[in-house]
Order: sequence, then C-alpha cells, then structure tokens
Amino acid sequence: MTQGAIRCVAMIEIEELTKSFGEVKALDGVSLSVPDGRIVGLLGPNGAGKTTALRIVCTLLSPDSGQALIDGFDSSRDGVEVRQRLGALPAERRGLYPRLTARENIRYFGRLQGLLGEALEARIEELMQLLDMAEIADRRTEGFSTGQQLKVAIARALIHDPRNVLFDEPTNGLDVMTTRALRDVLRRLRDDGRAVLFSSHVMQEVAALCEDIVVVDHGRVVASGTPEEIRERSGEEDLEEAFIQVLGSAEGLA
Amino acid sequence: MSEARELSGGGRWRHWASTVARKEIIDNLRDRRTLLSALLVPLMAPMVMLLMMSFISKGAQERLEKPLELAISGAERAPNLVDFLRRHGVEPQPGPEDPRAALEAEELALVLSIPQDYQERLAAARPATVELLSRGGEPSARIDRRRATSLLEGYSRQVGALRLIARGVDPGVTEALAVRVLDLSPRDSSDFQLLMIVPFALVFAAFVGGLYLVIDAIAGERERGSLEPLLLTAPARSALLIGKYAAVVLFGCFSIAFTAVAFAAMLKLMPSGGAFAVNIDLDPKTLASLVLLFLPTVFFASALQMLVATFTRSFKEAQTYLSLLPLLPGFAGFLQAFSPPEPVLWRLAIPAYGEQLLCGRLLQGESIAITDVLVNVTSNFVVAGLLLVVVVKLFERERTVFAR
Repeated sequence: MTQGAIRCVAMIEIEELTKSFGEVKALDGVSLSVPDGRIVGLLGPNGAGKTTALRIVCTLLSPDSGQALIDGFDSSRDGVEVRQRLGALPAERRGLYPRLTARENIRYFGRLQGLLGEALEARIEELMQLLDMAEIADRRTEGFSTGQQLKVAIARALIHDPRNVLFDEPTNGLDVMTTRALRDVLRRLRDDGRAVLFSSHVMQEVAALCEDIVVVDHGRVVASGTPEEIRERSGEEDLEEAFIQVLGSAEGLA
Repeated sequence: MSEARELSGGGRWRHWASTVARKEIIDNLRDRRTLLSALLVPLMAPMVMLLMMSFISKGAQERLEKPLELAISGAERAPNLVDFLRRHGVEPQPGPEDPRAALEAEELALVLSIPQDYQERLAAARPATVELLSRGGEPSARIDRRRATSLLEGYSRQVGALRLIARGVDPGVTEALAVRVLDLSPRDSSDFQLLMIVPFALVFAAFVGGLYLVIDAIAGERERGSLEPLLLTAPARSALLIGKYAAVVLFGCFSIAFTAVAFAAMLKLMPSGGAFAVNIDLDPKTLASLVLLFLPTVFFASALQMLVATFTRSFKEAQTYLSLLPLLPGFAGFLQAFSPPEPVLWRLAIPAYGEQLLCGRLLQGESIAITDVLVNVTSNFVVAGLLLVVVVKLFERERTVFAR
C-alpha cells in the first residue's frame, strides 16, 4: 500500500491504454487521472470507448498496452487488491438475485468484499439510509423498478466503503428524482474524499456534477479540463456547442 | 475494518468460496425448479421399478393360482397320470396329433406327449418316457413349464414309492439325500435387467441433483446480468467458481442419497410373499455401498455440467444441453442389463460409466475388488479436477464473461 503512495498522487491513474477487439480499435492511448476528493466525468458518444476504459480499470478486461493503477495497484496484475479498493457499477448489467431480498443481495457482496457480522450489518443499514431504501429492504428483488434495482446495485457496489468509485452510465433510463438522488450520492462520496470516475454520454449530466471532464471519441482523449477550460479553448460560449466543437460532430451526443 | 479482510491467502480464499456456496444453496432452495429436479426426479426411478415389479409378480401370482391348461397328446394312454394332474390343478386339453408341428406353428406353448409304449413300459416297471415340449422364454411360459415339470416328477415319485411298498421296501431307502434347495446363484437375467434401473437412476441423480443450480449459477448469472457485478467483487474467479461447484456437488450428493433411500423404502413396501418371479433384495449395506460408489460421480457430473454451461449463452440453451447430458452415461450403463461388457480396467476408468459396471456386479451378488473401485473413484476425481481447471481458465477469458 505504501507502494501506491509513492507511485502516484491520483487514486485512479490511467496511462496510455490501448485495446482492440479484432479489427476494431476501442482504445487508442487514453490517459486520465482522478485524484481523491474529485469527480471526473468521462464524456463521449456511444462507442467512444468509455465502457472499455472503465472495464480495464475494474479488472474485467486487460489492456493491449498501457496500464490502469488504482491506489498504485495495476488492474491487470493485482486484481484482488484493485477490486477491494474499488466500488464499481457496471453499465447496463446490474442484475440482482431475484429470489434474495435487497438486504440479502447487499449482504452477499459485503461478505465477498470481506465484511462480516456487526460491521457488515451496520454498513448495510448506513447505505440503506443514504439511499432511502427502508421500504424495499426486506422484499425480494423480483419485480423491482429500475430505480429500486439501481439503489440495490449502488449499495452493493459501495458496501466495502471503497476509496475509489467507478460508475458507468449510471443515469441511463432513470427518472428525474432518482437521477437527483444519485447525484447527491456521488457528491457525498466526493466530499468524503473518494476518487469518483463516472461516465456518461449526456453532456448536462457531466456538466452538473464534475469538476473535471475528459472527452473521448474513437478511443482517444479529444479534450480535458474543467468545463470553463473546455469552453475557453473551443471559443464557444455555450458548453454544448463547445462539446460539439471538440468532437467535430454532434453524433451520439444528447 | 473486519476480520475476514485480515485473513491471509488460503483462509481468505475459503471464506470467498464458502460465501458463494452458501448463497447459491439458499438462493436455490427458494427455487421450485431446483427442488423439483433434486427431489422428484430421483423418486421416479424407484416408482417405475415398483410398478414393473408389482406388475410382474402380480402376473406370476395369477398364473400360479389359475388352473394350468395343459395340452396332452395321447391322454387316453395314461388315465392315472391325467387324473393325478387334474387333482393338482391341471385342466387337461386335447393335444395335437403332431406336438412338434403345433409348437413350431406357435399354436401352443406347452404340450405333454404320451408315447404308444407308455402303458407297456409302466407295467414292466421300466422308465416310461413322456415328453414335455415347450416353447417361449417369457416368464409366464417358464412358470407353466416349471409347474408341469414338478407335477410330473411328483407323479413319478409317487408311482415309484408305491412300487417299493408293493415289494415290501421302505420308499425312504431310495432317498439317499434329502435335498433342500437354497438358491444362491447369480440372479435370473430378467431380475437383473430390472435391477439395472438402480445404477441408471443413481447416475441420473448425480447429474440431475444440481442441474438447475448449475444453470442458474452459470448461464443464469450471465443472463440476468449479475455476473459482471459479481466479478467486480474482490474474490479470485477460482474461488467464485469453486464456491458454485461446491453447492452443485452438495445438491447432487443429496439427490443420490435420496434416490437410495427411495429405493430402500420402495422395497420395504413391496409385498415379499409370492414374488418369486422377481427376486430382488437390496439390503441396507448394499444400498450404502451403492451410495458411496456413486458419490464420486457427483463430482465429475457437476464439473462437466459447469463446463457445458460455460459455453451456453442463455438459461434455455443451458437447460436443453444439460438435460440431455445424463442420458449418455445412463444408457451406456443400462446396456449391460442385456449384454454385460467385460469389466476391464479402461472401462472401469470411464467416469459415470465404470461405476455402473461395478454396481451391476454388486447387484448380481458378486464381490468387487477394491482396486477396481479405486481406479474408478480416482478417475472421477481426476477428470473432475481437470474439467474445473478448464472452467476457471475459460472464465478468466474476456470472451467468456462478455459473450451474449
């Protein structure tokens, strides 16, 4: 762990990642870093390589070259260490176990992350309050609404109180209220000093939350900085116009 | 933050695997399909056997109690014999002119033929030959033949005894031995065929016990999109998969034990008297050895099922392939009921097949060599281990995780 402190300041550090699937080059040298206490937004149209990059960070894929470091641990080599320090919410696939209750779903992941007994139950209670889940806590998750499912998925991703948080397209398909609740959760994580990396193809989403934005397209970083910096550099007054300017086209951006 | 996180290598790995196993067991105990396949399917084989046995023995019973219709050619030459037969439950029928031809034409299954010189030889106290011609190997024909034979022998003894008495000799002197027949021979082939349901059922139970758990834990996990989140938790993939495997094995073992108990209960229920057409007894010791013989099968079957499930993309697809899987070893083993293969070592080393051959020999009342058992058990465990290594390797590939 001391190794991490020496090697980098940022808690999530992505360096020159490349990754191809057959002929398709999904990532072509993406670098970014997320320091503690910051929310970094990964913005880009569908198919830009956001999910691939995040999957490399959370150890599901290994890069062709480059590396992703979490608290100094290499995601393609130290899988267990990385996953213990990372709370990740994957895109789309957030299935729950329908025959288990919300609490049991969360408890299962807590045990797998190494929590036991009193500490685990207290943490579950804490998250349930944070996410306002008292009503659904002891219901089987079969038939949960998208919002309810997301709450359980977030709770189980954060059960081990990870220092680094990775949310892939978390707001897809959510109603306004749930989206707002989700933003609150992300802000609290930041205020607690967590490094938060979150991806979206929705510009407003990113602008509302992030201090830093990294815009990717075709597997490359095309712009990065604060919203103001991006606006200045593109010479556009409006942020949306600035993004379109940066991307060179409006494809895929809502 | 907690005790488990402080655990080192092996302890941590075991904590992961047992957590997964526990969750899979609880989760699947709440699934009706899992319970049905683990409990009801093993019951089916003993039920089928019970039905077949009661059908056969009922047939035999009725056959015994019914008068025996016996065609007798030349009945007029042996009135005393025909009388004797009639008193012992035989309904004499007029016999054909040519018994052989009648049998070959399948008009009759059993004919008693009294030759021309019958009276002559009888009067001269020389053995008088009578012919009992029969055809057909089905149980009913065998029963009729046995009844007729023993009646004829009875008549022969009676006449012989009368002759001795007439000469002032105690008939007992001709009986140098009083033979009591205790049948300890290998079983009759039809009984053996019936008993072959037992290894078939046990192999089936080894596969079916954890069937739905495998589908749910591998294909289901992927289909409902919970695989990716699961892989994002700390545990090594080997621990996750072995945890699932342990749960599958547990269900399979339970299913085997349940099948054996069901067979035992079924045999208790069977009326024992009069069931001589079906001569089946499975004592508790034999049953226990059968369970032990087939527990290693569960380890092999579960590993094979996990491997197959890894290649399937959906719950339905997994269900289709995995339901067919046990039929292969099941029927291969069942063939021995008709022509038992030489139990050479390489056959015994085939997982899920060798133990059926061993089981067949046990059921025939033969003893089996401990080395043969060891070969089979070792092979089951080694192959299971190799399959698991392949499963873990497959799950470490990106394509396995993200295949739709």
